[in-house]
Amino acid sequence: MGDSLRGVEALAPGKAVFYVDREALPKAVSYVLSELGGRLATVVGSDERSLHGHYVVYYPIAMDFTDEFRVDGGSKCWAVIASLIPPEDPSFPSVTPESPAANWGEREVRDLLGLKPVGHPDPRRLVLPDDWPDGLYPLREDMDYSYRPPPKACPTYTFQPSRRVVEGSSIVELPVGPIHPASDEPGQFRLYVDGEEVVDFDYRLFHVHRGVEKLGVSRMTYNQIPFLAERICGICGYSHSCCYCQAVEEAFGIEVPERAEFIRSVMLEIERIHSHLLIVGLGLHLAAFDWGFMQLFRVRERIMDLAEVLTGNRKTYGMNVVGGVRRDFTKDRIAKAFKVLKEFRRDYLEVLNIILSNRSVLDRLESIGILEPGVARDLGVLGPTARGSGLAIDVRADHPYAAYKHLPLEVIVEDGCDVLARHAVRLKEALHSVELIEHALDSMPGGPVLAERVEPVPHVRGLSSIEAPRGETFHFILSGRYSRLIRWKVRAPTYNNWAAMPHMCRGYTVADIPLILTSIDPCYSCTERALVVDVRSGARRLLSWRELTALSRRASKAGRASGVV
Amino acid sequence: MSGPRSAYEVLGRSVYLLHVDSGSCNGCDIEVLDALTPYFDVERFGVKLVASPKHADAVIVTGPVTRQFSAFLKRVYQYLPKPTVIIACGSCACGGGIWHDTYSTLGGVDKVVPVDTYIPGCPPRPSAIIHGVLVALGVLQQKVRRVEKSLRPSALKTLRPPTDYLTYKEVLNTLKRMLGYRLAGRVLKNYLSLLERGVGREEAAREAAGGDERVEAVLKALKEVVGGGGR
Amino acid sequence: MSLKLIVKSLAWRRVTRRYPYEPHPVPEDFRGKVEFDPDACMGCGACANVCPPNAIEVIERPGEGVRVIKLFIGRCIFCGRCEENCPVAAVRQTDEFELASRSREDLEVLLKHVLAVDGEGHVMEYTERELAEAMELLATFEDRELVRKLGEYARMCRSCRVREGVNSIVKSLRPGLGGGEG
Repeated sequence: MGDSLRGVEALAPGKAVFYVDREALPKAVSYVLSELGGRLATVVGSDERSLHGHYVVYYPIAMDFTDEFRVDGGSKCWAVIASLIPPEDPSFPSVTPESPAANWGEREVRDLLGLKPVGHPDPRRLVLPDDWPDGLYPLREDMDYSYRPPPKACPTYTFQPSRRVVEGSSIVELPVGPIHPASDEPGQFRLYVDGEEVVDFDYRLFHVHRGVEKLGVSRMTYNQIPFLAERICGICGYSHSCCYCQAVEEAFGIEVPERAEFIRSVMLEIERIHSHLLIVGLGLHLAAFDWGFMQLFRVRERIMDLAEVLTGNRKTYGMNVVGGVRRDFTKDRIAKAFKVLKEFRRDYLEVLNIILSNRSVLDRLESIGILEPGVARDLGVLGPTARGSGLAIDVRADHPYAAYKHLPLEVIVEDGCDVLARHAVRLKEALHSVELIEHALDSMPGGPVLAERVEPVPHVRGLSSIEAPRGETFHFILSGRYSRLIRWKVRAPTYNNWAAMPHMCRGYTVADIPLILTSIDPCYSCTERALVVDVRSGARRLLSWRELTALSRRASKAGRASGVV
Repeated sequence: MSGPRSAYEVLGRSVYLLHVDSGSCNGCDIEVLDALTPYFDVERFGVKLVASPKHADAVIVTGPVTRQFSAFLKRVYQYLPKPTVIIACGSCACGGGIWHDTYSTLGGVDKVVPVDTYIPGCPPRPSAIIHGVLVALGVLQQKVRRVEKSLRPSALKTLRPPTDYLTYKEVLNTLKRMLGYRLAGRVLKNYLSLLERGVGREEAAREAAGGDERVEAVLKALKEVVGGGGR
Repeated sequence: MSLKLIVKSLAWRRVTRRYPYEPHPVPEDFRGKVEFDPDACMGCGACANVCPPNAIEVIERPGEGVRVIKLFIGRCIFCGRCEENCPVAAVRQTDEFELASRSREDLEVLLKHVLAVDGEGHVMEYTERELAEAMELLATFEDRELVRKLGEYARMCRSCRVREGVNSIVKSLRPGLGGGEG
């Protein structure tokens, strides 16, 4: 394999790109993943024809599952395996058969750039709308970001259960209605059932595809992008904004002042608290424990108000620029923050104690949606979803960024592998975040909040990752000229966590599905009706979102009444 | 867009509200959800969230309407019993937001269905959402009005910095770097007006800092800025 | 269990904010509605340049001798970049957040600026206010000769400036050549 290595490019201490021949990709990637203990973050495709005449495919791998590769400061390393793709033959051997974590990433590269992963098991479109014309690839330089092809009638997406399910008894598909009660966000799922038991699960998502990456490299300058990044997700947007800024700051060689790093860390932890309380609250609502839902939202409200005091807005804080932050914390506001946090901790602990002593709620959430550690690792699952299955991966500890090396961080892990374990990780993390914020505010250094010289450097690459509430968020940039970028890649944690859904749903009942889905804290949802068809009787039931949630809540209440779930 | 009669006049009773997300980032959606929770409690006004378009009197839509979702939105509109009230919530729904011209969004809800009330914000506060819903119902009057002004050149009040422009910019940029743009603007304005009134540099720094020692130190370290001038 | 919950809920009392019967106050430096100071805005369009969603637009109408700065509040993302970058502090974010409107037109703010006209009657590429502001700021500089020169050029439209520039280059290359040729 040594002779297929074409070149090495250093990005930053501990981060390098290894260019190999295309044919060597599957072996190279699976070697680093399985033999060296790496974790595939995502797959990045890039149109770099204007730079050197080729497309490029990158496989960024974080060396998280080993203690061997570390920079002096203790941070774990990144190895990016990359390959140049000639425009005359835009294809490369798919890595997915050997490394399943690359599944979605390669489909996205095919959709948006037209680079074909040969041997990929799933030929279906992933990201683009169903009526998007074939042969038109948005991320190629020749397509203008605002070009809107005329709409057309199109065949609907083909759902497919996995092979072994089809070989069993005649299974019928059921499109499933809305899952995320916070947003009737469009998305479609199919549940394959045998009686009440779910035997498989498929999805068609990306109804929220808005063209973020393309917009970022066209109309936007590199300093407008933090505002765009923050709106990728309204719940964890600030982590996207920080991750982007970090990738650019590293690529341009900008040193961010310490005070700005502390401010960023405080806001990141505030975001973590509000996000965790939101999703656990919703999980409790689905388990028919509305008291818990309302109370978590009540205590969460103070954190939203605190964010408004510190940044001017309850959400989308607008704090980041490349090189630091654009607003400061005054002495008054820091004092106010301490007061709010003290009250929050007291109220939250009260609510938490009641929730955790409610045996029937715990029973409802226990032992469903099991995700074994080995499966979690193979699929590249992240965040509390992974930590609830015993995997101790946390970007704040493995690749410390912002002010985390100065804060008393603890990685919280549970072994239960079920829905309850994942929510328990979140509830404990929210409490721990309060500690981290207080420590950061206490030891906030003086000095500027913005770097002195911020100058763009053309044609450099940078990558960064951050522990968002849902898991690792990953950004990659390649800068262009005149304050613009050539490529910006965003990978949110839910992207990786979806892959675990089919596995986690098999063997449980339809009523459990909403609980399992909220336990991965998805950023996506759907509004469709649920069509439930039973294989054996042939009976068809149309379920609305309200009915599906009601199923889940009824099952929870029944469990409470009988003492058995 | 609906005619001049308010939704309340049209419907004459409490409103069942459907929430639809046409591809938003969820920021507006969680604020709509917050309006349900104990702190704001929109149910006090007889507004209930429902799940199906067939039961809805009014719809609150978030998101810029992605290409993939537009067919669904049109279908939802067909199912709605008419007359209906459509409320566009958030910057994306009102005008397409930051993605108003990308390839896979359509530029806002009113490009697809008629909008009765717009609620700007990114995301709008839950109280702004309640305000918007009440405006749509005709219970409250809207506050914003169109502004169209022809500005006379002679009415211009120039900036008149207290020193030459380059020095002024340098001082302002230093403050922005140390304190962030918003605080820098406010503090500099106060500091300059104190200097203009003849207050000494040290004392002006202390007063303008308003009790924050760090801000005071930053002001004291500033280059000498000649007193006087300023708008 | 449920008794415990009821007792706890009673202890926390009623938490609902009585909005809209009571105002919902905003903290200091809240990022609310963007407002222009009509006496300070000089129509340079720096705000439009930096606005990420293009909520602020510059509409040039040289035929009418007018430049319009247009803000569409509906699309504003309340980031504050306009306030951050205005060279004359004419834009700022206020405390207003109750911005609901029954019509799109009510969410628009249009400021019409008069475009400057040079000595030969040509419409220039900046507004009269920009020119006035620039002249005043120039006057604060120490290099009087540079200030005078810049002031002269500032009062010409682009094509006149180009013509003047070419003339002076020609003059410097061929001293003794009469003025007006080139």
